[in-house]
Amino acid sequence: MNEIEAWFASRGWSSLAFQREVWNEYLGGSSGLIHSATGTGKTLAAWCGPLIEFLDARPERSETGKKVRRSTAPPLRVLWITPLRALAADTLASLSAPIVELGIPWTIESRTGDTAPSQRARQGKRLPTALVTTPESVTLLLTRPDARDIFNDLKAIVVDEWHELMGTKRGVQVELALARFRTLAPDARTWGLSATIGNLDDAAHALLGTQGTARIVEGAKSKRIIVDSLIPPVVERFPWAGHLGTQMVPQVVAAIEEGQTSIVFTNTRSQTEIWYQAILAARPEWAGTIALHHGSLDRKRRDWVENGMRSGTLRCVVATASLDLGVDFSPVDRVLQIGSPKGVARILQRAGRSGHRPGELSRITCVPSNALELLEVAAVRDGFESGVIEGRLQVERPLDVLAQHVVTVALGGGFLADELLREVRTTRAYSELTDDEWHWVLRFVGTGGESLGAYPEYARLEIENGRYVLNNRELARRHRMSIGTIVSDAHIVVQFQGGRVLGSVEESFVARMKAGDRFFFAGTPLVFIRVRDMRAWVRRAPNTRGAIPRWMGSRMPLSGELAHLLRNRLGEAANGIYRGAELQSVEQLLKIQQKWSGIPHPDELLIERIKTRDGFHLFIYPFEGRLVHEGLAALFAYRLSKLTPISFVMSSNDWGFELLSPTEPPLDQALSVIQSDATDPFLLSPHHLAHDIPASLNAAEMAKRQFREIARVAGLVFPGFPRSGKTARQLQASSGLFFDVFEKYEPGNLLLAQAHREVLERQLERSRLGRTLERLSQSRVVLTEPKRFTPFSFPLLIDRTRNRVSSEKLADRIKRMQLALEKAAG
Amino acid sequence: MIASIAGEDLELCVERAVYWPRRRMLLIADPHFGKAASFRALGVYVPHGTTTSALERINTLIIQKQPEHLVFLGDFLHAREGRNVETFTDLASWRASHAAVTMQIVRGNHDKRTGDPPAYVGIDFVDGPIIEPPFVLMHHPIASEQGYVLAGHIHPCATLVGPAHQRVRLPCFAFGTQVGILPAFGEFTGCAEVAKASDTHIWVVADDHILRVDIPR
Repeated sequence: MNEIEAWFASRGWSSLAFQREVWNEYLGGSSGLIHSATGTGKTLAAWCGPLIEFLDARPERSETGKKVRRSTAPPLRVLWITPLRALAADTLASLSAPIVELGIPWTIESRTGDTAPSQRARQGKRLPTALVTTPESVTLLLTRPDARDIFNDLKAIVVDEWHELMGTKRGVQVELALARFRTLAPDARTWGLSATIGNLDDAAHALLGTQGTARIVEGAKSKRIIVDSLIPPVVERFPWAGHLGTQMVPQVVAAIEEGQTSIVFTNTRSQTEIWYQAILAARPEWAGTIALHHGSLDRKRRDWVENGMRSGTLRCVVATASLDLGVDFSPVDRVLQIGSPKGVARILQRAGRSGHRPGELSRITCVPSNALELLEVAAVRDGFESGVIEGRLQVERPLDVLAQHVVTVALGGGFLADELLREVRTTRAYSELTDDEWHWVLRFVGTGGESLGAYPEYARLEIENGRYVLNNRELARRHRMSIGTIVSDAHIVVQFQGGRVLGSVEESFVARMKAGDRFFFAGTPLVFIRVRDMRAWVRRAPNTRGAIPRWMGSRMPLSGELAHLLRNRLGEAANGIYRGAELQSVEQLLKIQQKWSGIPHPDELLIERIKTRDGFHLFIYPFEGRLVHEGLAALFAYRLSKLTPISFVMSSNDWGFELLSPTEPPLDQALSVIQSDATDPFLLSPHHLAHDIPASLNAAEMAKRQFREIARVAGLVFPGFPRSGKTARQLQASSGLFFDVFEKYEPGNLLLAQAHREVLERQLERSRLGRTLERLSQSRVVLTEPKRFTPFSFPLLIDRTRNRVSSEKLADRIKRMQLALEKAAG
Repeated sequence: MIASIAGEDLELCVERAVYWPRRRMLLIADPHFGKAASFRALGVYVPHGTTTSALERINTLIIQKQPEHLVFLGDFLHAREGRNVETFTDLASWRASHAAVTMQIVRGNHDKRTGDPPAYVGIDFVDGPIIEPPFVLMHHPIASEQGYVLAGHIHPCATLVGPAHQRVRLPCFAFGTQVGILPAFGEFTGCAEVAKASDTHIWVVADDHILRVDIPR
């Protein structure tokens, strides 16, 4: 330990109390979780324990600066798991420093989807002493035939940014891998690094499994944070939704000029492209000193951007969540957030990107993309001033991830069913896994479906010496390629004709393009040529008109905590109280809302009813976040459609939702108590949810959409057959087809059940949905009939999602319709 | 639903088939038998039942219409991997139960790669086209000088839009001036948006109704 302390001193630092605590816990054999704000020394707290352990046991050292040979370096001792491959390079650099300077004879390398084939081949022969890697690459290691041997010397597993992983299927993938390591390397200790979140005990539990006890070490207290906002000079009557808020560009540019290096965060990848273009158009002379960064960009471009930020040569980077995490960009002194802050924890995290040194001040400036978002900024500030911070939802036993894991283990040396079940049940995610579910998964991956043995042509796993193994090389190859598709839709590489790779976009975006179409990607205007060999070939466009790709997966809702704070702020406004600069700037707008319709108090539910040429609009404002609203919209549409045959189109945002129908919905009837056994209004009742919610989800085909991801993870839909062409295409079917066939021919299929459960638990946050209905059924309904669209309804009108519910006969419904004359596959 | 095509009355059936009463002929396109089995053979799990259910739908049609002839307009089998004894046995016994009906397959693109069903299944196959004036029965919907073409291959469907942003996508029959395309009979198949020319007439299959939809001008 003295050597490490000396190394700290050589850098002019001294170790912190919490770092020493972690080292001692580690050396004493404990596992645990470290939480603290970013930039406060978590990395070295976790990293130095294994170094001290090695130095104490092996005092002789190599000369500093001498190259360590792979063949003589110790075998794999430390596995460092990071959620983003963008982080791997940076982490590798900071972990290498003490090794090199202390002359520790270790090799340290990264392995991610970006790793070059030659490096992979070397690692295939012998792994480095310390490996920095992603969850997907860890799972790939577990598929190696020698997986039971390569972890013999493993001493430590560090999971960085654990709060980002937990509550996702990738997090569950990590939980399963950690359970595997507990079996394969019982001496290894697991340490997680996390930002401070609302449910740290759950986080530790998920990380370390249900067996052991977890140390939770609190790091440095969070830094001083300032949250302010750019207030538009003129707050227009209507929110600017639909104009993407680039009216704020002059003020944003001025803010960037104040600082040395800025990060401009947006909520979606498309917004990064839009803002990059807008800033460049306002300051053409900044070309070359501003950049954009998101997860779809090619590795080389991301590296260039990250290096530019570290060295301070870039003035500004427009980014998504890809820069939320850990990378240390010390020169960054200004952070801007475009659009809704969405949650308190998220704003704290993004603010922490500036002043990335202990003791420095962090500042984040929110830029509203519509006027009402200023209210959300005020609510965020209320939140962190009163210490409110969100927890992370957990994922309950997703069988698709388990099915994938079972195949992984079958490849990595095989398993005994009972042993693997015991191991899997040590994870938090599967601690409640039933025997039936386990056997179902085994049949699904091995012999298939409900009736064991009925499908002789479908037998993937074989039994050798009592162990389940997978010997089919084609299936093994396909499985390895499917790992890592957990989070994203099928992607297509975007490449210049005869040249550089720009990155990748979702297949669904490319599918809508035809030759000659223009779009922006990686800040470059492009012309689409064609798709061939799983690549979208493009050339540079002469000017800058074009579409922006829309990416899925970044539809983060307002957190429940923030929603609550927002309702309180609105309640104040309803009483004429406008506290703070943000509220004062939207006072006029809210007064129009109040005059034309109303502003709800926290114990009221506002419903606006408007008839236009388009049809009958109902705007309903529970202020609970978009996911809950999607569920409520489906539920309300379903309940209304039970009273009369009617068809609805629904749209939702964080504030409320709209139900639009061609015929008048029976709202007044639905708002009365119509069931003899009920005491609350039919529409808002928190009762009969066990029946009504699944029925409404089916009606809105939400489970079918959720099934897309499940089908991919479970290996039903395989996105990238490398040798494409006609044979491959014969083996492709959309997840929608699978869903239909399963529904009809095997309704008991547990992946279908999972699709329903996931929509309920994750997508719709069922517990929040139930609590919301409890609240709404006790609320006073304020029904208004404004003459025109109000400030609250306008954003919903523009932002239309595609959920539909109908109780009409299909034939009756389409008698009012005509053929769509848009281009194919639109 | 009766459609008058090339001077003949054709019955469009909700089971996604065409019946030609004058020749007592039933036409079925793209059943893709054995598709589910070929997925299973490659290690992708799909439940059983799609073949049996498709054959039952044909049984219903045969009982209702009492045809003398049944012609499959191609893609009878889906893929080589789906060729298995179980599927062929099912097909053979089904075939035997309709001994009075002549059956023919016009080979489609899938059939050419997959190979014909074995002889014991008892269905004749030809490369096509089959000339049945005024019609030419073939797989690919390409105009022919020999008559009006009835074909499959495309798996056509149409999107309908209505007031208040209503939208629905349905399998359809699409009859142009020289070529008519049938919807895919197989359930476990995708579909493609049909080209809409002003001289094409479209009928959609809406659950248990066939409805004519007009192309807006």
